[in-house]
Amino acid sequence: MSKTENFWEENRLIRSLANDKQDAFQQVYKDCFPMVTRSLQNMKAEPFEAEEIFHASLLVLYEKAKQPTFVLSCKISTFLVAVARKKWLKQLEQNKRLTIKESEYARMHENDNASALFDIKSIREQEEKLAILNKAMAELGSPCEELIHAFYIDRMSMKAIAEKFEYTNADNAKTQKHKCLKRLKRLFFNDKK
Amino acid sequence: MKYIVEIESYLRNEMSRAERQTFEKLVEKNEELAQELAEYEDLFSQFQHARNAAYVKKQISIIQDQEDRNTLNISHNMRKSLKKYWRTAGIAASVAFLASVATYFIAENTFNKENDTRILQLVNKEVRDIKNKQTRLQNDINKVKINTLPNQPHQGSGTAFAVDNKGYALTNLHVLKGGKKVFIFTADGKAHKCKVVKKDEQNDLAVLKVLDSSFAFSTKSIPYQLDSKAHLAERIFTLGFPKNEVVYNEGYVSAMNGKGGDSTKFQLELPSSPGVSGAPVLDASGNLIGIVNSKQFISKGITYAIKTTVINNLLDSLKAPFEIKSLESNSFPSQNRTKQIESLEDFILMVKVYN
Repeated sequence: MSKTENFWEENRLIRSLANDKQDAFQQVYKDCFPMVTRSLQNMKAEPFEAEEIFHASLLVLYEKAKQPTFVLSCKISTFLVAVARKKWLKQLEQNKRLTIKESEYARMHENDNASALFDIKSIREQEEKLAILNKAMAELGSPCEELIHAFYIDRMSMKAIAEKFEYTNADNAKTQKHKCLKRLKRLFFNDKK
Repeated sequence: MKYIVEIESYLRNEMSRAERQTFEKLVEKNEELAQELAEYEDLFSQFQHARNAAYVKKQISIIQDQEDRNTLNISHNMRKSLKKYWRTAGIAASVAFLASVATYFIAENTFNKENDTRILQLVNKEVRDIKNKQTRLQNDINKVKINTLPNQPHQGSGTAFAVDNKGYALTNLHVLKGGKKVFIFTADGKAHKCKVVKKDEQNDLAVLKVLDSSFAFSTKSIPYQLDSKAHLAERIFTLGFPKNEVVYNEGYVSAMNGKGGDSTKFQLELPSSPGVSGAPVLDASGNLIGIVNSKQFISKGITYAIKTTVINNLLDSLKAPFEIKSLESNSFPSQNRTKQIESLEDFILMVKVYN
């Protein structure tokens, strides 16, 4: 297969992934799992750690794919390996499991083509923000947590929510939801400071 | 803030053009509102990220479920015997079905029409029973598949103990290193595939969960509690798996801190070997006071154990999402040691990891 054909093939897969096609997700998962986890295990990762990082990298790919302007200039597997390696490297450095020489060596072996497609710092910032949201949601408690989740994350209709949570009508549910949203915002921004 | 309704419909793009313009003018004049709007915008963008994360998580769990069901290393023989099992099950089911149909026809000829509904109900019940039996059979087969050991030697082993009857067990994290597939072995010798639901790198702890959702360690409740602390010079005992059978050991608490004054651990005078990692440390009355952490060897006879406060912190973080209950019942103190061990056996597990 020629290089251009590959390019279209991979970007078609990316589009399907962005459109929530389950087949595409499975294909990416199965094609890339061995390569990504092997490359992490070569960098001292235990198998289950490698799997965890792989899963986090899949989320990065999925979010990238959802950006309308994103075009992949390398293979999907190359991209995932690059993201996973960078994530793992950061984790190793944080836990001081790596000598300076080792991390220098790892940096020398980065794929520039793939590295240009993402910024590890903003990925990590985003992950931290999401963790703060999850924590704030947990602190909200029942029934606010479920209500917010149903409307903003699962995108259920207000009518369906009113039925599920046994509110007398959709307007009542809406008022309750607004109260919850206010509380969530307070928790979300307090956690940050 | 009174503008929350407007902010939301603005951010969710639910305003008409005129409404948008009016609202934007309002925001320009009102600094406080502008700040509020920016914060909600930030929060709303996180909802989108959360939605993406939930989607990816779901897809991954679908794939993992498939893997657990289908592609787990089933040896050739196993497949063969499963096939036989199916054939037998199929024959049994058809025989049962024919029998029930025959019952119906015989009954049809023997009884008059008034009894028809009653007979039909009977037949229906029998068919339902057969269906249930089939489902149960299929579940059993799936369980056999999931819990089939990989066809290769294990990469590491250790001990774990139950922290919730519904298949949650605690062990040392380092026990799991070197392999991906984790199995625990119950006292009856059966293997159960587990997933790692929680890791605590700093304290070298991991919580396992048996994959089979109907699994329980025992019909009895867990006999030990987790709220006791170690005392200096206290006699203790452990049960662990340095080999393929459970081994009993006795010792005493020799210092209240671990190596280098590590306050998360305490020191035991107790012979230890690698497989004992993750074994429970129990006091004379059978209360759990720690978990063996034999990662570091100093000299023969000295073993370290992780304190229950650390264990409880870890388990607390699991309580809400995984419904781990606090351990309550305690029928230990009055019993003698052999009786204690008997009631413990169901809850002490051998761990093996495979690639």
